[in-house]
Amino acid sequence: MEKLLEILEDIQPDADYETCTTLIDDGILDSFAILSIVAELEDTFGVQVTPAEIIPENFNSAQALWNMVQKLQAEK
Amino acid sequence: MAFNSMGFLLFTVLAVVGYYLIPGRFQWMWLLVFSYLYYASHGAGLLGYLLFSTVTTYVAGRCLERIKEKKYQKAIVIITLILNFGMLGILKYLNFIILNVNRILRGHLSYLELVLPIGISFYTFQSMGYLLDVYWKKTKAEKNLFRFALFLSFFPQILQGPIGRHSRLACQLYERRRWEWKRAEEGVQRILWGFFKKLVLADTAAPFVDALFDQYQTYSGLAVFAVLAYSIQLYGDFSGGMDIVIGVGKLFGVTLDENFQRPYFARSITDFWHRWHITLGTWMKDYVFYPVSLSRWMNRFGKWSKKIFGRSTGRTLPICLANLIVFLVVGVWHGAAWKYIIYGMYNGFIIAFSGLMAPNYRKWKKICHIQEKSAGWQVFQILRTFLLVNISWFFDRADTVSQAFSMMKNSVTQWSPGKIQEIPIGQGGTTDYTIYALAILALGVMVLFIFSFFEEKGINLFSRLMKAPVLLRGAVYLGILLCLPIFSQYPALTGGFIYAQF
Amino acid sequence: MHNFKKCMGILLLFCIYLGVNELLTYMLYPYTYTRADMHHLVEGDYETLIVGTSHGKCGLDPKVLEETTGEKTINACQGGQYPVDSYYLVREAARHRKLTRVIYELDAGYWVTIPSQSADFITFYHEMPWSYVKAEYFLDKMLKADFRSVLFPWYFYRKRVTRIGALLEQKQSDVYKNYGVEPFDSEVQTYREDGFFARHPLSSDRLQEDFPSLWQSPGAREEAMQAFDKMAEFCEKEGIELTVVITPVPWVTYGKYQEHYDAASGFFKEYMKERKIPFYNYINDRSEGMPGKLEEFADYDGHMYEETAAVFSRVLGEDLANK
Repeated sequence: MEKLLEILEDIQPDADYETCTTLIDDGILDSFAILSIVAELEDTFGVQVTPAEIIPENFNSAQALWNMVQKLQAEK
Repeated sequence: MAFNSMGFLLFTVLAVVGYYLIPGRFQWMWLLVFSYLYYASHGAGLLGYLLFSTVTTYVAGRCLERIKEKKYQKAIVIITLILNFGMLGILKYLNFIILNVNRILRGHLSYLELVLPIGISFYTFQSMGYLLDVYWKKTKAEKNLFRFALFLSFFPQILQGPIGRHSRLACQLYERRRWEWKRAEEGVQRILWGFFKKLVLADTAAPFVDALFDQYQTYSGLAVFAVLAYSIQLYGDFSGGMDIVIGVGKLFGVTLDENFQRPYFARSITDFWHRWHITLGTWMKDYVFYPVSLSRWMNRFGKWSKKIFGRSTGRTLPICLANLIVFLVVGVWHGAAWKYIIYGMYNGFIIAFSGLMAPNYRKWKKICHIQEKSAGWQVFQILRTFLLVNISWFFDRADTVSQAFSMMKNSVTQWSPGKIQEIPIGQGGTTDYTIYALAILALGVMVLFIFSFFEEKGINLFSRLMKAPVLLRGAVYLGILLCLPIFSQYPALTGGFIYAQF
Repeated sequence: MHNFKKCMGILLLFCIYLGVNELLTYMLYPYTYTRADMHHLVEGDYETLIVGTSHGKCGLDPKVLEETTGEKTINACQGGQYPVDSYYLVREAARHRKLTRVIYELDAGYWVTIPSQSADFITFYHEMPWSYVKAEYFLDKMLKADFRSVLFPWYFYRKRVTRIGALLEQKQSDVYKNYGVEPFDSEVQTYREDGFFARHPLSSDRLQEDFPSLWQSPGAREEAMQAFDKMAEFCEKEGIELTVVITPVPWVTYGKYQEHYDAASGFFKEYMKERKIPFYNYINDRSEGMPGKLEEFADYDGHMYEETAAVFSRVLGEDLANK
């Protein structure tokens, strides 16, 4: 989770990732940011994200992202 | 039956009245019958293409749910995509390809006489979106062929969109509904507002645009006005059409996706594409941009570019490449011509460039103490984006790429605004209407601006109106209705809806 | 109760719209000769009806035709009358009179162009009295029209708002109430009650070269052919003799656009032959004594002067009688 927050801060600095649960709905993360995050997740956690995973529910908060990563790791 | 025809008006009234009179379980069938009647009114032969799309996609969706093996699923998706996009591609682009092959190889391949079925770009995209949604398990496959047929053919939207998503649209179409006054009034508001945008704004701008672009050498000092008039025409025409579509949808209780959100208030080109033809943009994002970016070879390209360009740039480069591919597709979607490809690539390059530069921009803004939220900075951003968008309109409207460049040059080197009065746009090619038309255009834009400005602030004037006493509301609607014949251009001098041809 | 009130509100709104619209139509929609023609079509005494375009209006003189054919004739041609309009005029006439003959004056240009939605587009529909024929006319033509053309007929005349006074005065006059023809007279033309437009030469008249509306590829439009076929079918069913006539144009015009005229001639000759309809094309088949000098016409397009029309109508009348 720590690493994940670091990644997020690096890609899009101006947001409060600890509390925000509307990263997509409020347009804080645009499609460029989403794909940058995905690229970093794949490098850092060794998971494979497919288009099926790109839904707002998976990207609206840091926690949701973390859940997705864990789910993908478990599937591996 | 164009939206502004008497036939469409009566057809809609008949469809609505019947819809609420028959028992609820028949309502969706009623819609299906009317949708097919409407599409057939443009030529019964066109039904074949629609049926092909409907049946192939339906069957594929059903198979995807039954067959669990990934390998076969993928094969089904690919075959269906090829069938549908192949049909669209042949109808829309074959002659363009033949033209260019002939040019390069100096060949003499003959052209095919192909008629592009009206609305095919829209329903093909909608059906393929559904297919991929089922494949990615974002929506459930439709079990009933006829229900699925309605999803693809719902008559208000079949000609020019918005491109609907199965997860949001389909269930609405099959629901049983009762008449609601408030919803109906909202629908009528949208329809009236749409006709105002189309008939008063777009159609008044249209003859100016036609004269200034078709005879751009005669009116070389008016290139700036030409493109501004086009920006009014295109917005009024397309978003006005959407208002009518969404309004008619509301009469049936169906909420269609919004396609426009005051695009000329956009603060960047990216933002513009989030506000202009939104359903095409999100379609491209979900079904082209993400899949391409996440594909295996893009992944490999990312690893390579990170090694060469470092982490940040290396990470963004593949995204930029995917973005360029998206806008190539957007350009090609608009039509088979090089100018559209340039139009798409122009947008793609700007977005890719600002994506790459984003970290630098953040730094520079800090150094220059620019406040992101200050009014001055926002106005600057809006004007800058409007300028960039207008440059792209030159490619969109001019007949050829070289005409676009020549007009762009004219817009900075030549200036003779007085000549505007000489443009003959009255009946029979007279100039006596020109000055009135300009005044109507100016007033209309002002009304549109005020309305949009409030909407941007979160205040919808029509929603406010709903709270007003009924007599006042009636007077306003009657007033708008009478504006249409009083201030609009005659149909003899204008065409149909622009986006119905894509 | 709630719904009842709402319905009444909508009804009220609709009535206000009707009232305002009626008022605007009264104030802006002028007295047209379509109105006079329609009145004569409904009330007049005739056996032969001429329909067609402006060439027929000033080329086919009912009086001269009557002298040779012996049949009472009126002329309901008008510029801007497309085949579909002609068809419904014939239908309307047949509702009131026992017709023996319909002469359709054919202008090839009208078969190849899309009718543009201007005042002419709605004029016949607007002046036609309510009946099932008008209802059919509506379904056939007006459904495809822009809704403004149908719902707000006055909007083609909105510019006349500055002249409302004169218009109102005219509408209250006896001439208007009695369908008088005087308002249409001018230096260059006299309008007759049988629907004929007698054009007079002006001494200072210098002919401007204009472009006649011509036959063009890709040829006749489906709608024009359908409307004509309906007319032919109707005439056959009712025992009315349908005759198709193309009026002459000046020789210079023919020389200049021969290709177009010959192509049209070829097409229509075949077309009418297939349908066994008598067809007289005075552009290509030049009979003796047929007008052709430029001085005999008001313009290059082939609108005849009164005297020319008399000469032409006599030849046509004889051709019809000798058949």
